[in-house]
Amino acid sequence: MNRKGSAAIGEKYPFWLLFGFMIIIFFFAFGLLTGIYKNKLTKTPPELAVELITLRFINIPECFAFEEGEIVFPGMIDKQKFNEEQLHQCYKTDPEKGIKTFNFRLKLEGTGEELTTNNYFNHEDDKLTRFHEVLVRDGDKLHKDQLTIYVQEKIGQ
Amino acid sequence: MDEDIYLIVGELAAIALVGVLIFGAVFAITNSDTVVRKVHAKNIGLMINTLVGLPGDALVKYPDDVSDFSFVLTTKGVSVFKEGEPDCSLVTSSCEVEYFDLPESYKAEGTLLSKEKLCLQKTEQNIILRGCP
Repeated sequence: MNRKGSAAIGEKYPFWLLFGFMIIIFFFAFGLLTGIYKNKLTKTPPELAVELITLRFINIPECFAFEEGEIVFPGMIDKQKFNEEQLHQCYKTDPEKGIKTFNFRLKLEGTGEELTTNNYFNHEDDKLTRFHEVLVRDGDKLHKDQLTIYVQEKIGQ
Repeated sequence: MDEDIYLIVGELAAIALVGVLIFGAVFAITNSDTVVRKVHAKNIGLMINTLVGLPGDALVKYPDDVSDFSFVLTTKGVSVFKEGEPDCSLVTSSCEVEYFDLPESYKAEGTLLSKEKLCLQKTEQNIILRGCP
C-alpha cells in the first residue's frame, strides 16, 4: 500500500472507531427499548390485580368470611377470625421476595382494628386503596362496618 | 485508486452487515411469541386469584386457543412453554412463569400439553388446570 492509501485509511480510522462504538450503543439501546416495549404490552393494570386478589378477604372462609356449617356468607366478616394468624393463612407472601408483589393493610374502620400482611411496611403513599362495606358478626351480634384495604405495590425491581 | 475502491467496498460491506443485523433483530422480535406467553401466564394468574376469591366450586374456560403452548400449574405459579423446550428452571429457558400466593390450605396442580381448550376447576380448596370437557 502506498503513502496515499495509508493516509486515506489513517484518516478514516477515527471514523470507523466512532462508527463501531455507536453501533454497539445502538444495539444495546435497541435491546433495552424492545424489552421495555414488551413489558408495556403485557402490563396488567394494578387496580385489576388488586381487585381480584382482595376478593378472598371477605368472600372465603379460609380468610375472614363467616360460615355456619357449610354455608358461607360472603361480605360478612367473622370477628373471631379477624386476626394476624388468619390473615397469614389467607395471604402470605414469600419471606424474601414478597416485597416484589402486593402487600396489604386491612382496617375495620368501626373498631379501628388493623392487620398487615407479612411484607407490608408502613407508608402513607397507598394509591390503590379499596373500600368494602361489610357486615361484622361478633358472636350473636351483627353490625355494619367498612373494611379499608391499603395496598403496597411492588418495592424495587 | 485501488485503495479507494477497497475502502468503498469495505464501507459498503460494513453498512450491509449492520443492515442485515438490524433486519434480523426486527424479524426475530416480530415473530417472537414471548409477549403471547406472558399474556397467557398473567391471564391465568388473574383467573386463579379470582377463583380463590369466590366461595364454592367453579369451572372456568380460558377464552383463547392455547394449542401452541403447554402449561404447568403448581401451588407457587403457572408456567407457559412449548413442548420440547428446555426445563423452566433453567436460566436459558424461554418459559414464562407467573407467580401467585394462595391461602395456606389451598393446592394447585395440573398440566396441559398443546391442547386447544384450557379449563381451571376449583373444587373445595383445590385448583386444577386441565383440558376442557
